[in-house]
Amino acid sequence: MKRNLSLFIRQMDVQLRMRTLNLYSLLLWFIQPIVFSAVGMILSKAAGNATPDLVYTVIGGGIMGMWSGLVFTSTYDIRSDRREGTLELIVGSPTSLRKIESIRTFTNVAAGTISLVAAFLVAVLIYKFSLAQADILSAILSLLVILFGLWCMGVFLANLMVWSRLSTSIVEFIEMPVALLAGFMYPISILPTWMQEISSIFPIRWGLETLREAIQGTDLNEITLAKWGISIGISLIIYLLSRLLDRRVHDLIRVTGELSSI
Amino acid sequence: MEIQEGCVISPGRVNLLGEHVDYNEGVVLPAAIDRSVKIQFTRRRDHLVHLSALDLDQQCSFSLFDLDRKVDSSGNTLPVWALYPAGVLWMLQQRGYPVYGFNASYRSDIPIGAGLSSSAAVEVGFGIVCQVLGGWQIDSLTLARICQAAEIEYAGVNCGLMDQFACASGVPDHLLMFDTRTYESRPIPLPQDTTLVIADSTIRRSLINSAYNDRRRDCDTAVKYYQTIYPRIHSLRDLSPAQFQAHAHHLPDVVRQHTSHVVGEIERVNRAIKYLDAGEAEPFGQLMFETHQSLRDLYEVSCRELDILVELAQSFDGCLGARLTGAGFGGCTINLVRKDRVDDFIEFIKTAYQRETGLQANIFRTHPSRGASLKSSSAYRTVIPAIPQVHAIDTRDLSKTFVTRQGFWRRQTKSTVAVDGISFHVEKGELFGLLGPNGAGKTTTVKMLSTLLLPTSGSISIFGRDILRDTNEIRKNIGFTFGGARGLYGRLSAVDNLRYFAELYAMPPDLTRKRIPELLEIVGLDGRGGDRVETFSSGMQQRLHLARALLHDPELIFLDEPTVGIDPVGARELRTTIKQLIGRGKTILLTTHYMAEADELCDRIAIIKKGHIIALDTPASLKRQISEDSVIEIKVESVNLPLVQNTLAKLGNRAVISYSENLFVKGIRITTPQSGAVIELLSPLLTSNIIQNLEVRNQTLEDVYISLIKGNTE
Repeated sequence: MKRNLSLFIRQMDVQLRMRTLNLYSLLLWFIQPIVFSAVGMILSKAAGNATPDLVYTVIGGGIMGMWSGLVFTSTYDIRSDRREGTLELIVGSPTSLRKIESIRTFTNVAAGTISLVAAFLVAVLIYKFSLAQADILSAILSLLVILFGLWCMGVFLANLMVWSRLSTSIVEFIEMPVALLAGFMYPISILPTWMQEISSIFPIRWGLETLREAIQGTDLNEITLAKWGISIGISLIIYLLSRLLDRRVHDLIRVTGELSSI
Repeated sequence: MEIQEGCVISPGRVNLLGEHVDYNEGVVLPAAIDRSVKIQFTRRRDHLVHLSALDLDQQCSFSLFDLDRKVDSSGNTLPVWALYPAGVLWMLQQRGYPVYGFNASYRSDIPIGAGLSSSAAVEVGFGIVCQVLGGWQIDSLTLARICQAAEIEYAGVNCGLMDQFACASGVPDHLLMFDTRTYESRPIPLPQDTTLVIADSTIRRSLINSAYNDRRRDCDTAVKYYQTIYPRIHSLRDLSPAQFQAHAHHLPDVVRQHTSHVVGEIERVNRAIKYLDAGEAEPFGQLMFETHQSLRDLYEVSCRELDILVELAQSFDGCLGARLTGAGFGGCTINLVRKDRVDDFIEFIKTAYQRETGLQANIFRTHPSRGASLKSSSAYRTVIPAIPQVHAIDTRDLSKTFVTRQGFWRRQTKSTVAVDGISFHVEKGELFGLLGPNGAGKTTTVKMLSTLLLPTSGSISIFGRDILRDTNEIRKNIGFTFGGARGLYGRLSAVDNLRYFAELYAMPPDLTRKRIPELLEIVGLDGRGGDRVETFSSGMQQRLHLARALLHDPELIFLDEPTVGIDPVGARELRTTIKQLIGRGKTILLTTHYMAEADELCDRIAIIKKGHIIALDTPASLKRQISEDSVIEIKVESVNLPLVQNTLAKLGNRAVISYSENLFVKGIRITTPQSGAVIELLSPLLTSNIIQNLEVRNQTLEDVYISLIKGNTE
């Protein structure tokens, strides 16, 4: 336990200093949510709404920023490790790559909450969005459910990206479709039924729904609990899937020699 | 020829006369006996010594680098029995003799603690083992002195030189007259028709060291006193019986008694030598009885059981002399017995001793024997089982094929065989080179060995562990670097990089804090630890790579082109570090394109081409493989090549000429076994030319490499 904690702190430290706390990443975490939020408000106005739906625009922008940041940073991490030759060193050490990727993804997700916090602050301070009706406890719990879902997806994607250079491109490719399908910036209900069905496999979608409901003042009810349950359940399935793939990926990269290929 | 294994036999010793005079610079009369320590040994390639004391059923391993600390490989204090061999190794190191790691198992038929110098036999025996494995030789006196110093300084036992000298210098059928002041010695034949019989009282005393030290102190006290009267006295050896008697009453009683024995014993030995030279056994034997009396009454080192043994021997017709031997307080008596009475004597003493004491004496005849020496290794193989050797790396039929798929609709599969059925082993402590052109399969091999790639077929074992089954265990024990600046986090400092990788290797924080500054110093980066790695030069980054690879103190290190891109000074420093690592017992597998580097560093080299090993041997043997011819390289401004060829045609095919030229210089390269004749023949032709350079040299590893690589192509 002590050893894992020590590794956790050291890995987070390296991750933050190497990959997260640089100008580019910080712009990503701050500018991207602002851009998304601005676009959301413009579209909302264009759609004829008198006042923009702050939950879907500002908060949605924050979540969008988190997701993009996670995908970008994860792909950047693996690419950098391949390019810098550190991926081989990590794989060749007695510490499992899964452990490293888990901590890295946690760091990225934790850093991503900056986007969300920024978005909340913008909503409250600039747009005078009132949290008077909000069920704060439910909102916090929903946020945790979202973060857990993002972390599980991040670990899975990192595993995939280690597997092959091609996977990195695929992961970048799915960034936008996932954002659209998970309903970051609009209600899922406006999507066609078949798309709604697809979106149900993304744990973030369920967490986002409960977050919005909590902010809009919907009381905690059985449906909320069920949505949390679905989100956590899907997240766990994704995590278990990445555990199952872990050994196979570890062997595959040692067969193909993809570790140091740039 | 370099000996890798063998058996050393190192005898015990018995002292016939001159007891407790060796530390008073007196003359002694010991003999090596036919009871001995037998040491079976095998060279290791690392810095470890593994000892098996078969009689004690105990084992111990220790590092040659930890001898100062007297600890075994696990950091525990060395057991007492291991201090004797370890002490010799330590003392040899102190004196600058090269000492290598080995496995040794040994057993002894010298009764332990019986005054027959079983510990000196062990010391001298291991001294011989080190000589044999180290390929150096020292005379028996020097060896004895080293062993004595080891026993005093390392094992903490204050002893004279006689024991080690007798064990090292014994002569069959002879006693040794050994002057402990001048170190002169000469063999003296044992009187004819006599045999030596040793009677072990089976009494062992544990306080012998303190009693021995007390007596040495008393002797020193006496010397100091007599020096006030006779300033030229240096030891009790210089004190005549008359001088002693004249002032003995001034000494404390105990000191007087003890000094009286030493002075008397020195005088007895002088007489004994005359008797022995004259072949007179009886008066010599009488002196042995007198010595025992003196040891019993004056020096007070006897005991009841020893006295009984001597009294019984004295009462036996046919026993010419008897006395306690060794430091006393128990142990053995040495008896000089007429040959024709030996059996009766043994039977008599056995029976009578048991009757008198209730103890069973261990009585055996012995012969003066040869000192410690190397015997053939096969002689004792049946007695002492051989120790299995585990290689650092063992590969069998190792292959790696990369399969790539191209195209989207019509997928095409392309297979590339990078390594094709190679087998080799690397011994522990060896620096093994893997050379070959680009794409030969070197890096693929290294990556398979370092667990980063899975072989397509074949097997790899690292320190006896299977690479597929024990991947994680192997990773804990290996370190690796790949050439170039990759493999570090540029925005972190050197220390932060090392801290991070220390975490990956689960190093305890205390150890990490201690190890990082040590390593930075080893690789010459002390003072730069806090600087960002991106500000480092290539050479500095490469050295930091090495530090990272060494962080968890791995036994096996893979260095893939470690000096690539480094300036000559940096490369030399790195080579020095690599040599130091080998000196510390690490095993290294090195790949490089620099032949001089490989020649300088590697114990053995494998040349790999297109995935096959085309040569594997020591650099010297590889050079011999292609030719023992010399190479003459001449650079001139102009040359008449046909004339040179015609001139050298006189030598037939013993001069192979090649020619090269550029704008400024013409080069002639002649490979020949007769360099002198070639130069003589060419001299008149070259006098009119301006010779820019003329070099006669042996074949280099580069010549071998080019010959093998090109030859293999052709």
